[in-house]
Amino acid sequence: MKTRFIYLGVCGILLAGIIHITIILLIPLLGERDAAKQIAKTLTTEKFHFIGDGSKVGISNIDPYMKLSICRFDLEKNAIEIKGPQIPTFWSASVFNERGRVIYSLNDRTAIKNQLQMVIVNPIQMADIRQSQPEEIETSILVESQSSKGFVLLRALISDESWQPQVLNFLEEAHCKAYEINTFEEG
Amino acid sequence: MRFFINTAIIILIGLIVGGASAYYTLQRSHGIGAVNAGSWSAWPFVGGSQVDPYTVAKATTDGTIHLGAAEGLAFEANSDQKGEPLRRECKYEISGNTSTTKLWTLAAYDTAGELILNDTQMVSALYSGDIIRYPDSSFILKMGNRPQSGNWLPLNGKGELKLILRLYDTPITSNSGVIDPQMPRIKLLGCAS
Repeated sequence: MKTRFIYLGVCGILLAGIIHITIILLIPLLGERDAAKQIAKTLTTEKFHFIGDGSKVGISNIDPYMKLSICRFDLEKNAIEIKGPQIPTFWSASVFNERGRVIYSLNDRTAIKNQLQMVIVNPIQMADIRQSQPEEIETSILVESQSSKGFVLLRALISDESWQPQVLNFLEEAHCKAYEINTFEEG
Repeated sequence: MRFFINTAIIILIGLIVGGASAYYTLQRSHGIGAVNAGSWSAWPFVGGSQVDPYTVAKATTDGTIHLGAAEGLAFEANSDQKGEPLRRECKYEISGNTSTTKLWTLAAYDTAGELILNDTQMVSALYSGDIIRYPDSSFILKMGNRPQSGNWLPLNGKGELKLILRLYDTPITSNSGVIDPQMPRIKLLGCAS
């Protein structure tokens, strides 16, 4: 009788281990609260969408002092160029892949001339850019993304109400558009 | 018959223990993959590609968008320095300093991750630029539902709460600084009965 209980307990604990691992591994695949999935579902590509504090696109634990803008991209067709006007408040930007992992991030201090200017490319477009060396690249940050889909999230600090118009202008003026790489013809 | 009873018992133990342990590891703030400083925990590698499955699962259940390394680092706390859960009906003193950072914001959230609003619809949040500090740049702020002199983080309602202190543009994400971050202490001053 006693050995039977020990046997059942050991089997139960083994099964518990399997279930525990399964739950942990399945959450990212099945979880619906994932903000990256919500963004991919609701926003169109190649345009910065001002999303305020982010609650509309299902982002929780929002920072009330930050305002956000998101641009989704798909590098399948073309590279993406991102540009923003200069602004004297804190801002930062992160490039995410479609699973919501950060590929690259920068802030106002680490950006070239404190200005948002970057080109996001896939490895093939990276090779093309290396070949043609376009002028714009000198002042832009080149970000190579292994996954073709993803999004750029731009955030800017509103420390008090007086910053509101300037920051909103920055987030709305920022553009995110297709970038054509001029490749040299053979011969 | 006995075979079925045995199987049922095994499955029952498996589901209860497995489910509960998975839930518990994700709920706990000092979880796997976290960097801890007193009551505070941060997940500096959550946005990166080299990240453990527990941190990924936690990120999914939280529904947040994470800060990139160049953006900053978010620290969460849901207990005071003695390990008691933070409660909205209690009064706390948060004192000390943070690791070097350009700016930080502190906000209080309910258990669902929504910002806490006080009676006048004011958001329960503070920005480092609005803080009154001592000459050595350390600060004391009070958190509670009654107005306080000095720095005050307003609360209201009842139940547990979570604090998130976000360090923006901080060098600690870029190097070994994450090993020993400096964060303020959270001390319980008393609770309204």
